[in-house]
Amino acid sequence: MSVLVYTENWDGKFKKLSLELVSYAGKIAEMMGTITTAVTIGEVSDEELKLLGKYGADKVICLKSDNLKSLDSQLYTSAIAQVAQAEGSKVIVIANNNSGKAIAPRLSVKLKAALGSGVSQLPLSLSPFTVYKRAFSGGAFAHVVLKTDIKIIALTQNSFDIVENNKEVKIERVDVQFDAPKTVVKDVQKQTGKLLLTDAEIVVSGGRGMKSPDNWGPLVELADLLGGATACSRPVSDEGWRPHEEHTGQTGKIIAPNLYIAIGISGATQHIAGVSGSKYIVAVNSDKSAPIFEVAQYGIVGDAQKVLPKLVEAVKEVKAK
Amino acid sequence: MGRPLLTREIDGGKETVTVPTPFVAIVQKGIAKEPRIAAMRGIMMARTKPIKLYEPVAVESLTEYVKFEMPKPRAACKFVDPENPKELITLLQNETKLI
Repeated sequence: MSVLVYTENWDGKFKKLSLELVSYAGKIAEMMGTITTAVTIGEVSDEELKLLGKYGADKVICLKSDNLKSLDSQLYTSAIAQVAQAEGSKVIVIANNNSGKAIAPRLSVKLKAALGSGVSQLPLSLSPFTVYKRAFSGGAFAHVVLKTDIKIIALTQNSFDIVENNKEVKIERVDVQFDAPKTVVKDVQKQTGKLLLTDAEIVVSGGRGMKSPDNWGPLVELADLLGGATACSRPVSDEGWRPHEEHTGQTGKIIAPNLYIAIGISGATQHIAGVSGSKYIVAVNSDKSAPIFEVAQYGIVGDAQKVLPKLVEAVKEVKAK
Repeated sequence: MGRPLLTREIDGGKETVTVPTPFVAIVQKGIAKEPRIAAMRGIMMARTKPIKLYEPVAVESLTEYVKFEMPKPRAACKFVDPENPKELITLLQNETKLI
């Protein structure tokens, strides 16, 4: 039995996403009357591992290997599959992010386990095991039965609230010997000191309505004031006005912040697909009939250039108090 | 053939990797901005190529879609006067408690 959850770590640290996954797995374990085992790969301190216990893990397995420093989805999959077999796990929970998308399908093949990807809620029923997931790029939701003995759930980020559980966690450290990876990492360029778009609770995003890359100043200022990150629509990154990493939408990043502020974005289906998971959407657009207003809870019909500076001023005033 | 060098996006950055051949790459949309148009000679040559048909292989699906649901309709958009965006910030403060 047991529910296994793979919690990625970033240079030995967990993120809110990791705690969401553990909380979610813990809840399923509770529904099934079993325990939750978390597995992570790399160098992680006891203190950090205990954090997973705080959010619902009964047991944490930390795999360490000297010959593998970066993520290699093939080798990571083998390692996770071995843990799953040793633990007799029936449900495996994994993040629906870049690494999860690389690992989950491989795990599905290796363990002959059904995979539900883009899941956004607890299972609707345990027998048959039915999950609730995004379908048609967020245009609909599907009830999907996972028919195999072992089930894999890839959970959408920001779809499950973290819950403290304060369990007595058992930490197990295992040294593993990985084969030489087939894919060799030569160079990594990471954005440093910048809030990652996928981690941000508040996102301010600009579209073609911003008119020119020179107009981004107040948008960035607004994001900074709100402690958020900046994003953009596809035409903006295609034009090279903003870096490609900021492109949000079906073919870019799929995000689910608490607050998404869309400035000068009309809201094409492909863009909405990337942001529809947001808790609140605010739109500023000069066209009253723009589709973005159909998904937004708050809207301003007006010119972005005129409205933005006023918004910045208003936030400054509020912050000053 | 040596080991091809690829650049890929990772969480919060980019990574350059080398891979052995053969390899499978899942590419992002927009990687080729101008699709190459096949030359006439190529199109003509393609006509003479034999087409081999394979029998489908039966696979058992591990999942079953039982139902689809439309997303819950969102509440109607509340519009704020463009001359007074401050009201929007006040609304966000009071109703979403995020600011």
